Amino acid sequence: MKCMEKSKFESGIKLNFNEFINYHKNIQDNYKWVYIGPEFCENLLPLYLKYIDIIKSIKKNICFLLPPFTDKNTTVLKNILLRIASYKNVKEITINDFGTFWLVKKLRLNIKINIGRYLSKNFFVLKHQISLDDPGSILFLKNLDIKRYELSTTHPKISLPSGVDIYKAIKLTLYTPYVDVGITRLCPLMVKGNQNMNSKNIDLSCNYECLKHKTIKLNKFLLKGNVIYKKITCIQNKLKKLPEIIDRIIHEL
Amino acid sequence: MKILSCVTSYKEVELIKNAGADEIYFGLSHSYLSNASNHGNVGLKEAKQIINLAHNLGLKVHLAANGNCFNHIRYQDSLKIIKKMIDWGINGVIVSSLGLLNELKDINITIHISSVNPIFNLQYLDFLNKNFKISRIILPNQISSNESRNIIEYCKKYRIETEIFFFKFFGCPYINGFCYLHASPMNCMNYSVKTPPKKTTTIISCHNIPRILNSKSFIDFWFMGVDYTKYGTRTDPTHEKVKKVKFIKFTLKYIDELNKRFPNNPEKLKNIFVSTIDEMYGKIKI
Repeated sequence: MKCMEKSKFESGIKLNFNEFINYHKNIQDNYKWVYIGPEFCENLLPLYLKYIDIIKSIKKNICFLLPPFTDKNTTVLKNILLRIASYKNVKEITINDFGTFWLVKKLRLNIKINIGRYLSKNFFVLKHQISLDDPGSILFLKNLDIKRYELSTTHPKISLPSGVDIYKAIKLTLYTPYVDVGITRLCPLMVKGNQNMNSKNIDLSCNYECLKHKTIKLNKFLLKGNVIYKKITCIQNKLKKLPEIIDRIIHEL
Repeated sequence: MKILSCVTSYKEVELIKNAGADEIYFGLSHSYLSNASNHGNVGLKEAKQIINLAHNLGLKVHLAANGNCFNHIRYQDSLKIIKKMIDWGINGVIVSSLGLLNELKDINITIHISSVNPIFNLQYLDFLNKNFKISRIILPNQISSNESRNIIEYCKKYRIETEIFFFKFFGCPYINGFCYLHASPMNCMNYSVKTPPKKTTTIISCHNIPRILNSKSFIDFWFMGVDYTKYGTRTDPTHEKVKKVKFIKFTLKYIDELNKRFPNNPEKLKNIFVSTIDEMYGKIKI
């Protein structure tokens, strides 16, 4: 497989919510892309909608990250999509729910769609290497003009089945250094903040506890909101030569 | 509400039927179709026997083809296997892969959407319904009954059956199919995740985060008219499977009895159910 020299891929930075609303130009100078959005948690969608206009002042290519969602946030999501589709610097959106794809189509928005890290697990298996294992789905999505997939991984080595041309038509974005290990809907921080919550009387209200608490470190795991991550630092040494299919690296602070 | 149960051998079919199941499903070993490990799946020869016996006993039987781990060669083999199952009379196929859904849409077979490809909102359900031929959806256990309301109403309108896991025997808070905490891929990585120490697992494990699918949401789903409840722990030994299916049957009968006693008082029914059912498992002689 062809490998690329480090300088031939695009780089970007992912901003969390606090970094987004306190946007400083200095952070992004080295990067072509800025990734913004509640990638894994729908509870943050209303907050992002409230501050969405900040995006207009960012003089970089923006990719807006969208989470899996339930019906209570459909209207908020719709409003976010309508706003960001009108911003010239928002070049792409990353979806983690095909419901978002369907909304984009129904709203007839002309915006490039990527498959996010959560949803990409439908199509890739991480087993010593990234393994692309669902050619039928990749082809189906290519016909819907979806050609970029986002991943976190412990190792950028790729396994592609031979004789399958479809994989030449797609590109991968790699996040570093955090690998998303597991995602919940009932965030541990939300549960902790709701003293009366129990297994019989679950109230799914959220008070944005994740924005008030720092990342919780648990041995080599990190708990950020509703996501468990593992930090894999050794991948930094592997970035020098990447398979050609990976052409974008997104750094998380 | 009817009961769907997994089976992992020919010998289990009649036992599970007698325990109270209305439908059964199985996965195939040494294929790439099933999302479960090979332990708990059957070979092709046994699959044919299971299908024949199930039909003789009046049971519908479905194939779990909800994996998504096939490369190009395996993909073609997987399609051939599914078509063989259809020829043998399988009643339905449980699917998660969009590519596989696309391949099957022109084939005369009922399709169930697996919880491995979870439907959390009406938009995704509408996308699936308008682009593929679906007959049933399995709701993920991380969506509450209130959040499922629109989904269930849509399903009723379009005559799509609905299914939920039985609350007592399934309910990890980490979203099914997208979690590396328990799944083997993470453990197979070069930079493998070692088992976290106890303190870590206490905070992040299944036991510390309340389950969204619990007795309260289950009875709500019952009132909302969900069609099936599912028992799917294929790795349980046979006697455990039988015991659990019997308990599910008992639970549904218990709800029916409570409904007869309190026909116009659903809140009282719910309170009694929630306060009593959890403690009954293992204590009630069925």
